Amino acid sequence: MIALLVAVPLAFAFVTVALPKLSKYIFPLVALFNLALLIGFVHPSQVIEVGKWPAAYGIVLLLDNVNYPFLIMVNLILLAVSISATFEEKIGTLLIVLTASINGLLLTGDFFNAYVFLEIISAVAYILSAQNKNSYAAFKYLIFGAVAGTLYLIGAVSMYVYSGTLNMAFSGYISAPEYAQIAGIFMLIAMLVELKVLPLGLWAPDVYSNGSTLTPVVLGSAITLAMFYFYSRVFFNVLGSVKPYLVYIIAIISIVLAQLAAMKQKTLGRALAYVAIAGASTVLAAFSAGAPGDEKIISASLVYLLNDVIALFVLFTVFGYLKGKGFKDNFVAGVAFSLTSISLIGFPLTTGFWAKLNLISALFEAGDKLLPIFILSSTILEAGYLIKWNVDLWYSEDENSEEYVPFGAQIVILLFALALVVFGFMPNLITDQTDKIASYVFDFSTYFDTILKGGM
Amino acid sequence: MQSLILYLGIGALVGYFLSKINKHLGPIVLFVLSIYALYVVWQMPTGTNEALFGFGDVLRFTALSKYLSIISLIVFASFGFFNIAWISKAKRPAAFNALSILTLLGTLGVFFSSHFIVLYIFWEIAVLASLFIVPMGKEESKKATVWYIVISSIGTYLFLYGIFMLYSKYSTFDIFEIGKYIQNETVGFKWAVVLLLLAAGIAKSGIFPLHVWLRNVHGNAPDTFSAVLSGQLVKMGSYLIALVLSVFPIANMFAEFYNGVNILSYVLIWLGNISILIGTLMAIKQNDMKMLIAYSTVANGGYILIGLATLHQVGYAGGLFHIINHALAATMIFLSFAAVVYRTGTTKIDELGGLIHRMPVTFVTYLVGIISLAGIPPTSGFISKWMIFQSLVSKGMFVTEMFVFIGSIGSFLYVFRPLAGVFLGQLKNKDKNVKEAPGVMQIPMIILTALTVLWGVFPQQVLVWITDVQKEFGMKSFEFEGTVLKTSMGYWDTWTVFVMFAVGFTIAAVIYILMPKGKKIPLEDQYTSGEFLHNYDLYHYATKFYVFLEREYEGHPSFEDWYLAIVNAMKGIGKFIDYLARRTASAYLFWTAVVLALIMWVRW
Amino acid sequence: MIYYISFILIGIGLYGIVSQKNLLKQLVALTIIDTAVNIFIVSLGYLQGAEAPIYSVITPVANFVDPLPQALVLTAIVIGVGTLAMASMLLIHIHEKYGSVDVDEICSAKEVIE
Repeated sequence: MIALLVAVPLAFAFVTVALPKLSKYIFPLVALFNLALLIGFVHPSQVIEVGKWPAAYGIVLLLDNVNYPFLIMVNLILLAVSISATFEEKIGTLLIVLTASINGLLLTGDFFNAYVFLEIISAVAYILSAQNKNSYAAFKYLIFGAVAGTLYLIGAVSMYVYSGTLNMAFSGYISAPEYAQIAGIFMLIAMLVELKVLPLGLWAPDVYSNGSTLTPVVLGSAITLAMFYFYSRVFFNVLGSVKPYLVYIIAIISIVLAQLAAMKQKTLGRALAYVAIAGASTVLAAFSAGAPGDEKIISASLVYLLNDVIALFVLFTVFGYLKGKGFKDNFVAGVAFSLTSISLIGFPLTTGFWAKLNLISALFEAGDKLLPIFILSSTILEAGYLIKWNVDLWYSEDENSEEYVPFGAQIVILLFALALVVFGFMPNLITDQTDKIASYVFDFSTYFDTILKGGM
Repeated sequence: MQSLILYLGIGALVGYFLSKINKHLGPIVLFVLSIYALYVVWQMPTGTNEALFGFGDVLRFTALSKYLSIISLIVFASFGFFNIAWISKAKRPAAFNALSILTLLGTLGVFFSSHFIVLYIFWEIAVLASLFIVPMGKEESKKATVWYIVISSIGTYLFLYGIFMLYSKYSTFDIFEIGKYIQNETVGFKWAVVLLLLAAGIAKSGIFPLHVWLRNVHGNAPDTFSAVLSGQLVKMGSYLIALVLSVFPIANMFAEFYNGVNILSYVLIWLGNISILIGTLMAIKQNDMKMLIAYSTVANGGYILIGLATLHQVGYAGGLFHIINHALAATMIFLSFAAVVYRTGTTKIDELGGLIHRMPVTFVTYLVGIISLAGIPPTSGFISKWMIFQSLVSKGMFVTEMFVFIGSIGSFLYVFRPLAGVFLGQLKNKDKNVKEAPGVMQIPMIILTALTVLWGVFPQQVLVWITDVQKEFGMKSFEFEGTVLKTSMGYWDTWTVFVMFAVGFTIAAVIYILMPKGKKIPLEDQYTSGEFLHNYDLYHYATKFYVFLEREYEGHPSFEDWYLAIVNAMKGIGKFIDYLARRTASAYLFWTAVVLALIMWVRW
Repeated sequence: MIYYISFILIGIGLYGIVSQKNLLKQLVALTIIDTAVNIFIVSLGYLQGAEAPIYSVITPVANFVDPLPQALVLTAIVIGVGTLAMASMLLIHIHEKYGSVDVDEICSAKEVIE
């Protein structure tokens, strides 16, 4: 059943090649179908062995407690994108393929299968970055991303050479820890590129600021979520953390540099790109902080990730439509923009507030006093320039501009902004889910048993 | 308490929607809510604990809460009533009204909470609500908003870090419980925690070195809201300082440094001194009347800090009294400025003049306000300043005494400038037909004036509140008996002094009425070296009022410039990062290679 | 020692990307890297003295080199081709917009446009 999550979008993608005009309608339908399937019909844990090859010989697709919430969130975001973004018909096909491949990445339990899906996601991302005639930035991203992909391939093949299987669970079980570290380094570099950690994320500002309503939204929310899932799966569940201290240092430097760069920007799009980089780096730093296996930190960072992703969705959509003009005629967009910037900064009572509070409290409990300093200082900088952008946009003296936000987009961003506020009042709705994810993500034995059904 | 907060929250929504119908309804909602809250708070016995929305035991009504809530509600009630007429000039009345009610909610929540995180939440609500009102003022208020949020965040996040340091030691967020345990920590930990917690109070009350935001924010905010900012929100900072200083046994925590004053208090007193100096000297220079009084808020914040930090029977009471005095005085002054701007449209002193003829009630309000600020009996301002002076002398802190004295004299210098420039002097041609402020605006001004004089003569009610605070925190309380205030160095009988002033005033009034009056001539009716005057606007003595004094410190370093230099340095780093990001893919790969090499190198 | 060929080729490719000014040459260097990695993967599966993994008369007993890397490489080649096609399309767009595919000329053209 869960293979339908990948198969149905692919099938409909072929349909839209033949009937391009319908892609605008097929995409939301496909996303809706996925959501319905996830919420109504499948439950954790399920395993599908592709082609009926037993687990360690063949490819497995697995749905368990870790990727179930991620799947729901990603498909929800893609559904929202289908309603709120404006895109040409040809891109609709690509987006449906993207749905299929993100679902595939989230479901897979095999290193090489993950490589294939990663490359498909990257291919779609390269084309999406070329929207609005931003081909040069897309080309830079392509070169960089392709080299990163080959690094991942080397890492995946190294795991195969040692353990004789490409299955993540079995390979992680069999390999010696030192060997897994080396192979892990290659995979880590690839993921750091996608996760936009400076200095490996230097492609992000150019790509995210092309002003389209589609590119930064999809890249910044859906793909980032998928990458973080994959990171936690590989490094927490299967291989064990690779050099967490070094990643921690790089991520902290990235936070500082990104916030400083964001202060200087004159266009909102580039500033938001740096905000995205800083947010992703904060989550990565939190993932690498504390002792391995600290569930509270992971749970809080997942709340932070969720807040970051939703907030950036709204902010980039508003920027894409309004292109930096004021809010005087676009009241709904303005309210959504302000509410989400407040949540991003972390004022009470929004999701961002609980995220930062829980994160700092968990870090202190783990004995880490350094990262809270950086989180709080970067919040000060972020508060400064986000409020400045808010004030400039609300009180701008532009004449009536032609830019407006379409109705569908308005509904979506308003719902997301209100969701952030509602979760701020009732944080338990989210924290229960993330606690559950955090408790399962470190549980290698459950993962192993689920896949291999008792051993090989 | 919980019900009050709930009502205020609902009131904000109600006020927003009612203001969409008719903008005058919003301030009415605020006024009604503040009067109701004032009544409730006045009656409420201190020492009650309550739960908030299901979280147990986070609200506590101490005597300090009661005192400061009453002050805030008086300010907000006058603000609300004044706004009923002023709101027609506001840029976005619906948002303004809703956000003002939210600000009140935030500050009352701060006063009521006994749990650090709840306090932080309400603090941020108050900051957020006031943050979005500030840009509704003049054009420069947009930049001012950024100053406000950045400096306020610096204070708040230092505070948050301190809270978490305490939590990781004691696993509790309750303020009063922590106060019992903290005595036994290492010196470094105590210093760090107390300074971090005080940082939020310092940032909010505008003490050096976090004072740079006050001038721009208070000066450029919408006119009546400056009254709330200056008269009430900075008091939130003073509340935090008072709370930390009294709940934590500071006197036992830090070593004694000077004649019974411990070293932390000494540091705070010096910060207060510098704030007084900076506030006074900068205020003397200002041409814009609102920015001038904003600097005076810096100086008065210094007074309050000095008073509170002495932790002395008389000094602490003096600091608390000064809170209410400055609240009333600042509100009166800013409301009278708001009335002036409402009628004339400008805040620059050298564009105004002679308004005493057209706006007498506004003039009297301003006059009593500055008399209180300068500390002249029989207004209440005198009492607090006298108490602070007494306690400093009794501790032998003569250098501080000198600063406080300079501040007092200087305060009269700078408050006189708007008086002379705006109200006295010659009425400008364009203001000839200016009318007095509307009746609705006059009422709160008159009431505040009456309160200042009343509490100057009969300070018992305020002193009862203050001594309750002192008793609750285990400090020796200030002694007074009827209208006689006693300290270790002498006593002061307010009634006697008032009678003397009243007698003198009556004699002077009688003489004035009986004697023949001078003849009034307009300014053009004179000669100057045989020339007739046609353009008499040039002869109004309001520009460069204190140039002889300003010359003395002309080349002073400016803290705003220092902060801006830091910001520019940071932007420079940011520009470098951005430059890297605009390069080619080859550059990206180069950096990847560097990072890969670094990872490999560290491993081996 | 066949690994050395692969490493040298990767090095050439990386050097090409870092040093070349012409975007098309950077793309070619990327393709070299792809090819090199594919060679590396295939060479990992080599066993001394074994035959190609095809059942035939010559190999009644299954004495094969590892066939899995060869299958992986097939997929990787296809992905490489797809990426190459996309990059070429982007290069055509860049040429249309800026008039050249040389990095220096693009940067100066960008400054003119901005």
